[in-house]
Order: sequence, then C-alpha cells, then structure tokens
Amino acid sequence: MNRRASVDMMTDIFSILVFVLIVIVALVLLLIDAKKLQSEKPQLDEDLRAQKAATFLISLLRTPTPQGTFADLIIINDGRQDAEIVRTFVDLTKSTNKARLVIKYPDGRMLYAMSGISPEAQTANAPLIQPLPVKPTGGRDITGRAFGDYGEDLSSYTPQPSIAKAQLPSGSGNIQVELEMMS
Amino acid sequence: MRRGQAEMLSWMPRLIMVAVAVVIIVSIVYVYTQRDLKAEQMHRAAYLYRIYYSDVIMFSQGARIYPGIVDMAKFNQERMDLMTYEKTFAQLKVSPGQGCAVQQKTIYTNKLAFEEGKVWQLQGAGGRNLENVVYPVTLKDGTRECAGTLNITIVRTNQ
Repeated sequence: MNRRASVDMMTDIFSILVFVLIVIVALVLLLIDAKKLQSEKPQLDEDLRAQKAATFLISLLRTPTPQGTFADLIIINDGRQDAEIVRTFVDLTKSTNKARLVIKYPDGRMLYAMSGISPEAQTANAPLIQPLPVKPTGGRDITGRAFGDYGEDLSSYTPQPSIAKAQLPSGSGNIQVELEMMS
Repeated sequence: MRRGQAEMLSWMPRLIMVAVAVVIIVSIVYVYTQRDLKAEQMHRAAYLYRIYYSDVIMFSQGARIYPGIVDMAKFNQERMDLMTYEKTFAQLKVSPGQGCAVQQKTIYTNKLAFEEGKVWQLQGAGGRNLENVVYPVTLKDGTRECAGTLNITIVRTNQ
C-alpha cells in the first residue's frame, strides 16, 4: 500500500467514526427528549383538567340563586337548604360531563350532589357517600345502578377525574367545597 | 477496471453516508421545531382562559376582574375583535337561565370559521381541532344580574 492510499483509508475511517458518533448522539438526544415528554404529558393533562374544574367551580360559586350566589347558599345552609343546593347544582351542570360536588361543613356535616341524576333521587338517598365511578363497568352510582345504565355511549369512554377545591369562610370556620369532574 | 469506475465505487459509500446524515439531521430539526407547535390542547386552553379570565367580556371594576360575571355591555363584536388571532377562533354564546330577561346572544372572533358545515374536527395539516365548554355564569346587564350559561367553542387550525 502506498502512502497516499494509507492516508485515504485513515481519512475514511475517521469520517465513519465521526458519522457513527453523530448518529449515536442524535439518537440519545431524541431518546432523552421522548422520555422527558412522555413523563411530562400525564402531569400536563392533569393540570389542564384541574384548571378546567377550577374554572367551572369559580363560575358555579358565583352563579346567582334566589338566596344570593351559589356560594351564599352553601354558606347559609343549616341543613334545610340541602335539597335546594342539590337541585341548583344539578340544574347548573346540565350541559357538563359527570360532576360531583362535596361540601364539608365545619361542624362535620357533609353534602354530596351529583350531576345528571334527579335531585329527588339524591336527597332521598342522603347521605350520598358513594364516589364517582372510575370505570365504565363495575361502578355504581348513588341510586345503586351500574354506571352506563343511563344509555351513555361508553365505547370510547375513559374516565379522567379532576378535583378543584375552594374554601368558603363562615362564622364557625371554613366550609370546604370540592368539585370532582370527569372529562 | 477503469479509474473512473473505481473512483465511483469508492465514492458510493460516502454518498450513502451523507444521505443518511442529511436524513437524520432533517428529522432532528423537524422533531425539535414541531414538537412545541403540536400542543393543540394547550393552545386551545390558553386562548380559552385568556377570554375567561380577562376583562374582554367579564365584569371589571378598576383593575379587578370578576371571572364568571359576564358584563353584557362588553359582550359585543368590538370586544371580540380584541381577541382576533390568525389560527384560533372563538364562538361565545350566552343563554339566559329561567327568569332571566337577558337576550340570548352569540359573538365570534371570526364568524366565517363557524358557518354551517365548517366546524368539525379533522386530523392533519389544514384540518381543525375544537373544544366546547359550558360554564354557568352571572349575566350582568347594567344593575340587573341573573343566572345563565356561557358556551365557548374554540376552533384551532392544525399546524
């Protein structure tokens, strides 16, 4: 092998090595990026759902009722307004996905309201402590019927609950209000 | 073998290497420039909350804004023109609740985008993605306040 051929071969080997290095670095960068995005996506989705629920809760609490805003109604409730709160909640959430409101009073009382179910059925079954169904099958609503018995198309349904919380000040302490929404 | 043929043969692997390197570099550039643009959900949410939490249609006193209380004096086309954006369009519709004297009204950032038959979801470039949300709101018309709903539809053109 003459000197020139040897130099050419060395140059080619060096080029191949540099090329392989570029490919490896590129693949590693893409892999790291994909992993990072993959790990961030669930949190991002959760943040968006939480923001959606929080925005809905703000609107809900400010909505006027005959006794002032919905928040006022919750604050003045001494137990006699339970049915009205449930009725108002069901009425205001007619056009939303499944949602549930949990109100915890400082004296230990709790009030639950669920959208899409008649207020009478809910108040007759108080206290309503069943959680929102997390699976299309197997879950039971507050009336005891299996989730999906209302004729909903659940073929592509994947429940994604998100919770927004608020505190309403009252004379005897803070009232905790939780809105759980399924998106 | 002629010298020309020999040179061509020696250059073939180099050309293939260069082609592969170009493909890899183009792919990387494409991935890194497009990944942030394909967050339709984020774009829609940002636009939606800009409408909801700003004073564009919501009642405000001084610097304080009251999200959830729609000021009907602001609920007009001129205010929506403030929200005009090239790729994203909004349709806002207020509907009065029972016993509320406020008129049902719909305003748009771009009415043409919401003409019948134009609002659908379509994957791919040139297609659209949309989101519809309904909030219970207070409709404030002068000194009168009553319950109603605010229906917001956001349509975004795919990148």
